[in-house]
Amino acid sequence: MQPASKTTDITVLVADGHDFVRAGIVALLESEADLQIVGEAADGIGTLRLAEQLRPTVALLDVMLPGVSGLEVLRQMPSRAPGMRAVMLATHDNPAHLLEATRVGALGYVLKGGQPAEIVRAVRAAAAGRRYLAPPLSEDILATYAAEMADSMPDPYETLSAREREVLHLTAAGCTSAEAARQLFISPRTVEGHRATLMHKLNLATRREVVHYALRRGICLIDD
Amino acid sequence: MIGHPDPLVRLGMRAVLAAEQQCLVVGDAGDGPRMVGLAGCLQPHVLLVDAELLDGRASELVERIHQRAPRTRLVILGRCGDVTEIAALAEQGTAAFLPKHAGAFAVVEAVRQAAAGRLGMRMWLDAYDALTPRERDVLHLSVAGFRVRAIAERLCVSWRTVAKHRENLTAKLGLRGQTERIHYALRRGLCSLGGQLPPLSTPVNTLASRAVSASCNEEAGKRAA
Repeated sequence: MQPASKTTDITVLVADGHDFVRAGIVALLESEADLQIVGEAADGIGTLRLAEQLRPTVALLDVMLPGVSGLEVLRQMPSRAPGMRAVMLATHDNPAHLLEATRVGALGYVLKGGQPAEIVRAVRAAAAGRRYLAPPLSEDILATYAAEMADSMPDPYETLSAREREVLHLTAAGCTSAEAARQLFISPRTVEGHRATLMHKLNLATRREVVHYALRRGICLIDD
Repeated sequence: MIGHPDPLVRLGMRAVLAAEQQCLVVGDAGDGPRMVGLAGCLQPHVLLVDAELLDGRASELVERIHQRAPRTRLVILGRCGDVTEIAALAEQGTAAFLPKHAGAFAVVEAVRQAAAGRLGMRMWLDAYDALTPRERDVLHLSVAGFRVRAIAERLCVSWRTVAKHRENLTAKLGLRGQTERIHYALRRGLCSLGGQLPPLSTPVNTLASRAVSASCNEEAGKRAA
């Protein structure tokens, strides 16, 4: 990585699973003098690794990163890359994702179909430590939804450990125990142990139920 | 030339294609009518277009593009649901077809092939057609949650036969394992995400699945919409 040319530069890590979206973000941010792209990642595990290594000012995270999702990456940021700010990129204005993202520390939230300039605005705001929700999202929508959800039942997902969540995400994405083990640098037996525990905690009996749970919970997408 | 509804993706496609030798992006459009007009003005060799822009009237729009820019070849990015109408176009050799989220490498290659006059590319359409009726039965039952032995009982064959069918169909579709079969089936619309449960599951599972579906994001999304 080249050293920052000015100390005021905002360094950015771009994480999105779609080649053209990532290329678009890079093209967009590269034309801004105060923003410097230091890394690109196409999946969740790669993003965590790069964030740890590069310590960018801001990470732009697709909510639906392949493998380990962007929201899960966000949850692990405080321990893996403390102090890093995050802006989430979403395809849909799903308020559940918005609420979860802001709860676990995202400063910015931008919809991909909107004006590209909103992304630049959100990155600058996040670097300055300010929250920025791009229109049509707003603090009002967030507050209304948060109030609505306040007395709903607790989410069993919250009871999972970080490792169990990683194993859940990778399993739902179609990884075998061996593949998940390789990505997480643990043994396949350990992966199987985590999977058994998480399936028990979530009360899921089969692989099919795991995939359906993950899709319903918005952990992975049916990508085509 | 590029036609895509999302400005960020248009920007990305421009950046990727501009970096390719012999590629020059002459214009882009974010909606159908503008795209047809612009193609008429620019007469591009290739029009890379997202199926969303064709919006259910693919053959009509393609016809209009061909009238105004007869030498322009189309590369269409679409999802499985769009396939029928566009597949017909691909079969006639009118267009090349790629899945919506194909990687940059595949898209660049398709653009090159189209520019060289090679069209009619059809992906994962044939794979399902190539399955035997029995393999299709096994696929449907398997993704609906039936275990091998339950499928065997239902189809009145031995469980070994079912296992063999499942192995063959999985290989034909280029998949690995149950998770990928489920993803494939959902994508193809062979099964749905709805709350329906595998008929053989126990009452305990029924309760668990209901609890999950009540707290899930999809429901929340619907409520907000």
